[in-house]
Amino acid sequence: MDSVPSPEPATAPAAEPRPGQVRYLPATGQTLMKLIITGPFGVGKTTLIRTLSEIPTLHTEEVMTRSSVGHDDLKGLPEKATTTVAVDFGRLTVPGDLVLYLFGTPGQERFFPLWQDIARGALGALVMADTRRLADSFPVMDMVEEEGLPYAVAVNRFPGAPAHSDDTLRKHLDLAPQTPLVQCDARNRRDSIGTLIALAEHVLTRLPEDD
Amino acid sequence: MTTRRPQPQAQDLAWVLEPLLELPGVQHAVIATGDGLLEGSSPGLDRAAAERVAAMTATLHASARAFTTAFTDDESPRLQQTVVESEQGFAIVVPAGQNTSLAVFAAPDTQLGNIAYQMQVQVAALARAMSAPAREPDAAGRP
Repeated sequence: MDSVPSPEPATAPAAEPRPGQVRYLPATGQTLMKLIITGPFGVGKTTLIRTLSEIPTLHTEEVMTRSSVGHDDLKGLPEKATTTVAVDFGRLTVPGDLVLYLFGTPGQERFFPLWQDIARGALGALVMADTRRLADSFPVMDMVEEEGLPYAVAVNRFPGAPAHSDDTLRKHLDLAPQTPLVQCDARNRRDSIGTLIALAEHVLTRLPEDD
Repeated sequence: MTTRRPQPQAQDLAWVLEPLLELPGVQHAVIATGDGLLEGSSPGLDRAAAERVAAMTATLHASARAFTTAFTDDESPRLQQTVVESEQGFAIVVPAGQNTSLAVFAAPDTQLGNIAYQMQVQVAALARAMSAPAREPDAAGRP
């Protein structure tokens, strides 16, 4: 982790606050990084953030109504009853004092107008995919590329979904050689941390060196 | 597709929206499901516009609730209304029964209190008439 950028300005003053002085953020040597967790409808974005977050997560999940039949395809998602309509939020600190702030987007196209606002200030994106509908991830990958965000792809292995080798998946997703691809189970913490570490390392290699 | 109960058509909801549209300054009104789909809209919005409003009605309402949760730690606060004020006017969202919201857009120089009151009256009527039922596990969901 040689390329960790200098800490946020909020961490700069090391002096103790005077009595009565309000300290808005603690002085730490931590590096803060905003990441977005994105991908198509029902791919496991909310689940991944719930699995990873060390703080109680914030969600904007709503019950899926009968009006969504014909709009939101539940093929292969028998348990799904709610859907994110605004944003998910969680936080994960990884070794090296790197604090990852996780912002999850909604998956359906009708919520895409929000996408750029959620992505503002993000240093990278995790694009999630399901092997049963890989192509559903393309519109999201397009948006990430248009924003110029470095990204990694996390293939969420759903029970019963066909398994493929990394090479096959990379070919079908048409990934650039430097784009990380990680297969995971979004319900499994160790797996899910692996996806974020792959993304964070990829992001850090793209940041300019200090000095 | 799967079995679904007949849904009210957009025009069937005109009786809910009409009294609101008669108020001075009110320009548009939309009824949206919690997951962001259109249930009914006033004639001044074309279908694409009304669908965009419906999606953002769900987003705004859910964000306002999560915003309240973030401040209070109450996991399921009951919202009375969400008001967005801009140079263009007021956007007001009021929860309207199970998984449904009513949204109104009004001119900047409008009597906000009057509109908010009338929205509550219409919401009570709407809640009696309809709500968006939760989707039941359907055949498409089974592997």
